[in-house]
Amino acid sequence: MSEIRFRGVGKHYGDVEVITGFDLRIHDGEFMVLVGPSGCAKSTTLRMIAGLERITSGELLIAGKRANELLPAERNISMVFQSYALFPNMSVRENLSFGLRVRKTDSATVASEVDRVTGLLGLGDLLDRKPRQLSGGQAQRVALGRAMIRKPNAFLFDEPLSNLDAELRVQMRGEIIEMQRKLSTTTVYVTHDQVEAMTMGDRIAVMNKGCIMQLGSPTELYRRPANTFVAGFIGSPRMNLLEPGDLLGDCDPTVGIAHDRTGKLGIRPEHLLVESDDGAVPIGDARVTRIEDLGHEVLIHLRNARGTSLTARTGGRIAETVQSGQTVSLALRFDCLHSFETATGERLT
Amino acid sequence: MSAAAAVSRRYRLTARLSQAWAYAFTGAMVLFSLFPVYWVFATSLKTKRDGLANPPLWIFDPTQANYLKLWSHDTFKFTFLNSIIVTGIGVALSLSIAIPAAYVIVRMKMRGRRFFGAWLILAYMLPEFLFVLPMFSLYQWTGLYDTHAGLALMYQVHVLPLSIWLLSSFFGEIDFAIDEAARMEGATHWQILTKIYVPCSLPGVAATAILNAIWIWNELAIAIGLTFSRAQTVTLGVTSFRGYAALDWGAMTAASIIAIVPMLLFAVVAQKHIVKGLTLGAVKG
Ligand SMILES: Nc1ncnc2c1ncn2[C@@H]1O[C@H](COP(=O)(O)OP(=O)(O)OP(=O)(O)O)[C@@H](O)[C@H]1O
Ligand SMILES: [Mg+2]
Repeated sequence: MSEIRFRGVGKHYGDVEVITGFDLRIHDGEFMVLVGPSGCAKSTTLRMIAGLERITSGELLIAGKRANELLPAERNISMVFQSYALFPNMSVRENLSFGLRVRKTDSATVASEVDRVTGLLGLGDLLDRKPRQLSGGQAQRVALGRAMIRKPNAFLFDEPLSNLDAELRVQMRGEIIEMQRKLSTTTVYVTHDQVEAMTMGDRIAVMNKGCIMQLGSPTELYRRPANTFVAGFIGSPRMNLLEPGDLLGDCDPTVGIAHDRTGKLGIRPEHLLVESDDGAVPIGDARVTRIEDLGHEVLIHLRNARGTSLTARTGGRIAETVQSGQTVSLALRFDCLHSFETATGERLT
Repeated sequence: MSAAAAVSRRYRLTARLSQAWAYAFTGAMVLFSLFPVYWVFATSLKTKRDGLANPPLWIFDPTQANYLKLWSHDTFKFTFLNSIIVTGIGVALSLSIAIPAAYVIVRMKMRGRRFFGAWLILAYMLPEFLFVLPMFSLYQWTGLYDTHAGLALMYQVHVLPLSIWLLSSFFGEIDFAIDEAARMEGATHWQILTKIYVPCSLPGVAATAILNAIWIWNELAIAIGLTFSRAQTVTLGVTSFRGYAALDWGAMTAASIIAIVPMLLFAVVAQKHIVKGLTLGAVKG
């Protein structure tokens, strides 16, 4: 168990800079999620912690000690791969105990540790199977078992659930969180799925092009996105991001800031009110272009007279009154508004 | 409907015809390549007079005499044993070098890797005799001339390029994440190689070993050049029935048949491995 810290870390492949001046402190026992679009260097960051990727500049500290030059084996860190990477020639038992065996652990300890992990993950019936005889979920669980058997300093996960179907993904998500809470081992979890990020992480680092756009708890990221990138990335459906002239009402996002700056407006779909007037600021009418009824909620896609596309999220009942093609009145709650500077995309208030 | 049926019938007919052609062609090729073997085998069962009959005899009274003669022929038995020793050492040497070499080529970023690959194939295409002439004097000088070890060493050099090339294509099939997972678990490169790579590509390793064994067993040019008496191989043993003025066809053909047997057994026993090994990539892909 230990803290992991990046200090001004840079990484380039040949001439291509993928990461520059990367700073991040992952606390002891924390569940840190790295999330971001494809190609934003999440995997590269994770693999630098693992020791599978050389660090070009800066410093990586594990438990307070410089780790740049340490071999993967010397870091005592476990990793779960997207493809599970189980050893195909070995049984589940041998896969689980591989790390202990190459470290010359005595066989009594190996046996008892295998028992412990088997019990924790319910792998009892599978011990003598080969990886190719396992389902995706079972293989995932074995990979998890192999990662936890050595009691490592940290767990690393690189999109471990992306090969599973939706239902299994939710289940495994729960199991990983439970395991992490039980062992309270420092964990770094890479995903491009924001639902995974929001539900799993103690803290989330939203990355883009090798930089951290915002670091914070799921609630912080959702309530106060630091810039338009995070605002657009976190939350589904996406936040409505609008230019000042996009709305019909007298709604100026630059209210209260210096006049030489222009602002963008951010409205979460659930804060855009359809046919409602309790204490909300009216922002004109819009035509309903499409309705998505998810049962517990309804997503209404709209377009107003200025050609601006908007999405609203409402409770289920509205679906019975509103139809596609209909014109509805829109309003919003001013206290739920986000505003960002146009040029930089930084949050204004 | 009926037009469609006609088309499909015509299609089926064409398919069956082309299949028939394929069978006929394959059959002809098999006959063509097996006929010499049959001829050798038949000759080995003929008496001296039957063997030399002109026109050749298709029906004759088989005899074991030639095989019995082999059994009491010390030189032949000796060369047969030599071949087993030399093949064993040669295969062991070549694999113990090619396996780590293939791993390094596949898994480590190395400057000039591509050049190395091209060079391997080039080296394999060079004729054996190119090696033999300079090696002759070097072997005389180092005392490797006419020894099992010396011959095996030379054979190993010659089968190495193809071995490395084959093995690296088998190793290349293994997901790199498996390698990384093993490193994270604390395995050394040597452990990764012996505990994961070799077991995972066992059919490939077996196929490589068998191909090497067959090549070494059948080799003649190097054996002529680098042996004299003590380390002569079975291919030379077969030619030893060539006298000054006459050939002992019966004994020579019997010796040829006996010389084929080990590799034939090898091929039959390991056929599944060879096919699996050589089609590993194709089947998986
Ligand atoms: N070996 C390499 N050589 C050159 N460039 C590389 C190499 N590996 C990764 N990159 C580049 O580095 C950048 C970051 O890659 P990385 O795999 O870390 O992204 P990622 O965030 O994990 O993406 P994904 O969500 O698709 O897995 C990408 O632009 C990629 O093209
Ligand atoms: Mg990735």
